[in-house]
Amino acid sequence: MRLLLVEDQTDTAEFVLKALREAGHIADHAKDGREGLFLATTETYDAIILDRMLPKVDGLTILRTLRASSIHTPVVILSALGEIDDRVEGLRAGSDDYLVKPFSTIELLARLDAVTRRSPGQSEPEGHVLRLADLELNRLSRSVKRAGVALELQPREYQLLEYLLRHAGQVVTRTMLLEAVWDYHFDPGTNVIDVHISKLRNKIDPAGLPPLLHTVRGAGYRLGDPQA
Amino acid sequence: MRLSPFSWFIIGLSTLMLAGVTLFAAVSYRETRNAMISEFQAALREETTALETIYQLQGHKALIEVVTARANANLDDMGNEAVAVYLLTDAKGKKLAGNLAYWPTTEQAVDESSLQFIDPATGDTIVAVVFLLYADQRLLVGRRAVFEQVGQHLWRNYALLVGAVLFVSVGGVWVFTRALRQRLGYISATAERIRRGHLDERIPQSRRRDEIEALIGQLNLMLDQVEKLMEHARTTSSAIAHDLRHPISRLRNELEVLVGETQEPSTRARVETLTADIDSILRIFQAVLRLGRLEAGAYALQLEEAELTELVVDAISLYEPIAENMGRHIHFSGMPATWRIDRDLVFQAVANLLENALSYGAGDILVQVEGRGVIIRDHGEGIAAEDIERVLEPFVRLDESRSSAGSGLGLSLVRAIMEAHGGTLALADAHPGLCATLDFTPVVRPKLVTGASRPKPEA
Repeated sequence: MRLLLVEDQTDTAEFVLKALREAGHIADHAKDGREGLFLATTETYDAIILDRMLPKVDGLTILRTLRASSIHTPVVILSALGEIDDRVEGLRAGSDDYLVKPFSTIELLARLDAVTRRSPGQSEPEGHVLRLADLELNRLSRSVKRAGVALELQPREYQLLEYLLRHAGQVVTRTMLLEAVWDYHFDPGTNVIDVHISKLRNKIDPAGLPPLLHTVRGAGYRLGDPQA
Repeated sequence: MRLSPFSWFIIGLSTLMLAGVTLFAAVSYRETRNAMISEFQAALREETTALETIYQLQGHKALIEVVTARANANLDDMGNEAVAVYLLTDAKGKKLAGNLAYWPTTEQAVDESSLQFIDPATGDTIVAVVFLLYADQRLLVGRRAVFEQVGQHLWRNYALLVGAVLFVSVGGVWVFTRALRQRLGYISATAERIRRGHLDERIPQSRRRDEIEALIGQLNLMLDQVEKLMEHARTTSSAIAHDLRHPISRLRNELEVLVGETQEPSTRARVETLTADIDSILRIFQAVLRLGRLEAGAYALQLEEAELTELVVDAISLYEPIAENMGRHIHFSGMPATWRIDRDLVFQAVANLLENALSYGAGDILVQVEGRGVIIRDHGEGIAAEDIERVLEPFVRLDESRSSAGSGLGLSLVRAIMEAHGGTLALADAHPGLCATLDFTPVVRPKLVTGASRPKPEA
């Protein structure tokens, strides 16, 4: 992916750029808002990582300008304000995701993958049936089958599976799952999502079949083809 | 009503004053009376001397005439007997002249003796002098002692005075106590609000210049200082959390890079454990910062009309599998209720309470959405009444060893969230278990769509 990072703090920028390049992305770096706005409007990127507090032109202003000029490149906002209470303002200004500093690079990479919707195992306009290997989810009948056997899923398990399938092959973090399935932004004190995943795993990965739902240590989960 | 020490002082003082006045009145009445009696007696002796002279110079008959004339002259215009009293009797006690019906005493009359008796006809006190004449005739000259009536008047007035003084002092005490109570009431009401966390409250001051105002001034100055110190403590912990977050997140980033570069699986696992530890430190800092901002009122609430029941059901759906794994159940009951709240924050509050009930409580968990808000109750050991206030303070954990997971910020955060909404968090020992109530009652409630329960989107 070709990415643009607009970040004035040198150490954060270096760290993020290093992580992006190690993950195989091409990343440009703008040190202030004016440079960032210039690059974002003149070059083509798959996604933009935008710091909220920037010298010269503030992050939200850049975002609004881009959206006003019909540039719909996915934008992930980084906020050093340390709180989620300005998240709504960021989303309202047209960002696709919002990440509070400090964040882990895994979280950032996972979210970039999610906003660009580049999922290798999936073609773009989603049909009403999502498939991965012998796992099948029908969005109309809300039914799930593994190797032809119908599975009984709880509503939340169904939602988790649907999200995982839509991001098949990608790393999905616990926070992303919480936000996607429960739609509340909060800090759980425990890894509450793990219990849900383990219940889901027991159903979709019965003994004898190759496991599809993988735990990515230190990051989250990945639903992927066992051969991949 | 209970009496203040000052009221006791006023009542005691007026009682003492009354006792003093009574003593003074009694003594002066006695003195005046004695003086009047001796005055009377002197006047009577003078008169008897005059009558004796008439008797010696003009004889017995003249005396009778004079006595009769004086006794009759002594009748006033209304025919009532007036002040002077006369009685002349013979040796057998038969009345010869005068305006008294009979001899008042059975005692042997002694010459020039003084008498005092009550006239049975009128009830007046009469002071008299006896004078023995020739052939055992006896002459009594007396005066009705008007001062006795005056005395009665005095006593009556005195009683009225006592009543008035008591009335004024009791009334004064009442008025004074009421005023005092009202002013002390402001102080204690303010103290109560401050205790409940409204640290910016001050005792209202008036323009009066007295001891209470001076005391209020001092108390307010003290409260300013206390608030400054609390503020300092709060900003200090926020500042520490804020400043340490950057080096710690750098450290975390470095560890992440290290994980990527390490091939050795055991080293990798150890670095990952370290990363997880750092994550929990960062989570605590995040909570400290959030709490600080909420308490300082710097957190901009994203208020919107939200279906509380839906929110609570969502939170339960998140924690239900954990409860099931523990062999416990979360029971929900409630009616649809729409409130104007920050849904992310309220979800956080409900989630914290559910996590608490799961981690520290025991047995089934009852969750109820009712008129005031949300009630969450478990069946564990609960919290002893004396610890309930304490457990709401940041970093307080009842587990003294602090070995269990958690930062001790969960309940503080719930309280701060509720207070930011203008509501309250109430904890109570439910015997058994802890009962936590999120009370939104003071929150401005949007127009309630009664009966029209919005269909819950199937989760």
